[in-house]
Amino acid sequence: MLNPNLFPFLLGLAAFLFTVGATGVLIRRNPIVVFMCIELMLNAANVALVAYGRFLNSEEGQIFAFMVIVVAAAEVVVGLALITQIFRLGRELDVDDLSEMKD
Amino acid sequence: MSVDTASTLVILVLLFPLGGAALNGLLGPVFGRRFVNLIGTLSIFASFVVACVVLANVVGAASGHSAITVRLWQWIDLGGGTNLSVGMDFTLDPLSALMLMVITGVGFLIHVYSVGYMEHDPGVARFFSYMNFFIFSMLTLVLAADLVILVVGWALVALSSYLLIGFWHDRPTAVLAARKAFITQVIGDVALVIAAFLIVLNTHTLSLPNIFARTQAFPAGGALITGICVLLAIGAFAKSAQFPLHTWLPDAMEGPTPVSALIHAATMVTAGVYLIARFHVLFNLAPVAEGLVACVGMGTALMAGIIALSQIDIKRVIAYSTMSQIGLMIYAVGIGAYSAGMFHFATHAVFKALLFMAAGNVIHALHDEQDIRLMGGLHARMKWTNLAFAAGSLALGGFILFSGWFSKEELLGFGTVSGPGPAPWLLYAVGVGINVLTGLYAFRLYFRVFHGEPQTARGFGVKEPGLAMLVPVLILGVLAVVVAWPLEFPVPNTLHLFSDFLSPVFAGSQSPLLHDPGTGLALIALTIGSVASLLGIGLALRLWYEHRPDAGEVLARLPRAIPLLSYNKFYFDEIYDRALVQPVKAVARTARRVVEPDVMDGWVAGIGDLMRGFSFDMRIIQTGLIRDYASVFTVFAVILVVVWVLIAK
Repeated sequence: MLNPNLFPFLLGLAAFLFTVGATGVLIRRNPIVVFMCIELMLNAANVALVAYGRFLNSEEGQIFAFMVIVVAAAEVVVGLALITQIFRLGRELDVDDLSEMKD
Repeated sequence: MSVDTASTLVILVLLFPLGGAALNGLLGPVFGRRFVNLIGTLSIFASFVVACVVLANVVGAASGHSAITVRLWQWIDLGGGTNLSVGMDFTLDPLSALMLMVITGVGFLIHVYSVGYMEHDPGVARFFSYMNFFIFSMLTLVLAADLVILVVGWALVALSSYLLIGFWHDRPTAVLAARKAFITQVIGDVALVIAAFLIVLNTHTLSLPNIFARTQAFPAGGALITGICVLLAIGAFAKSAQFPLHTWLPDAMEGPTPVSALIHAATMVTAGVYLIARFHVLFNLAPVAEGLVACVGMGTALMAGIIALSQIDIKRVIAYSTMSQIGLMIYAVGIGAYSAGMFHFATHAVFKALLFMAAGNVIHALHDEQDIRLMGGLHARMKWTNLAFAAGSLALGGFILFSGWFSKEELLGFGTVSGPGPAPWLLYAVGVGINVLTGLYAFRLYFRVFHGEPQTARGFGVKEPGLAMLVPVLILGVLAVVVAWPLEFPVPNTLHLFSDFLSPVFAGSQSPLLHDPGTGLALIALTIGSVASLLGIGLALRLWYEHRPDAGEVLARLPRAIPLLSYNKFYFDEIYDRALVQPVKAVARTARRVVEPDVMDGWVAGIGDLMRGFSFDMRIIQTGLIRDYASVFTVFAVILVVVWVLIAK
């Protein structure tokens, strides 16, 4: 049984990681870094889920964390495939440059 | 008569014309003209035979049992604690038996006549289908013992009338006339339906016998019963072409002549008289409404008589004469002389159908010429039609011992003693004047059409029509002379078969306006009326036959206004046009020019413009930058979380 006092710190860690990830998504222009930041946000959520599961003495948090990991893996596959395709088209890797859908 | 017999008779008398209408309408075009002629006339003849059985049963019924109401089936159960149900209820009593006899009897002769008249018309199947359907509707109306069935019959006769006036639907005038007739009658329908609602609200029943048994719901002479009776009267006025809803009848002459004879002379237009006679129990509680009915009837009779004097279309002259005669009937039922009114209805049905059909022969012989100025001198070449027309004119003009004389003098005899005050005397005096007028216009028409010299080359080559058209005319011609002889004599304590026959219907309640004139007064009235009629006929003889003085000279000496008013029908069509039609058209024009483009199209286009402007504004936020979208997403996610947390607390 973990020390209950640790709970705020774990949540704080999750919030910090999430903020870092969100900020990264918003300010970075390299799609690979943006993806890494999204992974960071997902894992921040995982930390929160596992922490809650532990402190509420329930397995659901951990099960859900596994779900998130699976989804994240799938998402990375799609995302990296997109990035590879963009690279193969000879385009610069800059998310601000990818705005064809607007026109 | 037992309930079973009565039910069978009702079903049969209704089923024959309805079946005829269905057969002619559905199979007529397949099997052709002979089939149509056969079915069309035989169905009405069968109905006439059943009507005779009904009459025999009603006459043979024990005293006090002459009326029987049967419920064929329950049509609608209104439920809901109202205890109201609409039943297929029909009454066989002396009044409905009389109506049955006239409708099917005269109707059959007119159907036979139609076989000849429509000989070359390609739409004969449609024609007979409509005609049979009209007979069915009219029989439903007069047999109905339930308010709803009555209203249904009332509306169906208007529909058949509409279909038949507009029978030649490739003529714009016929279509317009049909529309005019229908719309005018709908005004009456609305009044009738409102009256029906008021009756049901107060008596809590739809069955006519029950309504008449529950008149204690209405205080005598009260505003409620007066209102109901005035509304009923408006319905009757619209149907019977009485002032101010009379303008449709002359235009209805656009229909084929048999239609004019059947619907617009003999049967449907007298439905208003029947309605008031049927609802006499209610009318007897409302003397004010009765007075109004009497005044309107006599006023219309006078007005139509004056107009008939100067019309030049043969059918329109007869149409106005119909309007005038129905005015007299309406007057009779208004003063409570119901039997006299119904008697005039019966004789009028005979001699007016006769006049129309004889006029149809003339029109036919002259190849659709209807202008009496172009006729004349037909008596030598159309002997039988001439005789029949003369008999009809004498009956119409009230010549002594012709059928019209009996009925008209009878109802005027009651006019001498109706109600208190000077107004009834004034009405009676007008009635005597109408006797003069009737003789004048009836014989103006007869002399101008059948005497003098032919005015066109065609007039020399006319021939009598075929037997199908001649025989019904001759039968009615004989009837127009003799039909009243065995039935009634217009003096009390003499022959009164007809009013004795109807008396069970009207015995329960007597109008406060009606009094027995007594033998002496009736004899005096009879003399005055007969002299007035003879005067009219004699004047016509001088003016239009002997031309001493010639009608034209007399006309020139009259003030210009009188012939102008008469010729232009008192300008009613023009007044209605200015007062009703033009304002409605102006509103419609305004709506089309202003309301539709600016208001209606305005807000439709406005919504489009609004949406387009909104989407132009919204395009700004579509930057194409993923980071912008992510920022907005984040901001709103944060707001959502914050709000949620705050609410959760």
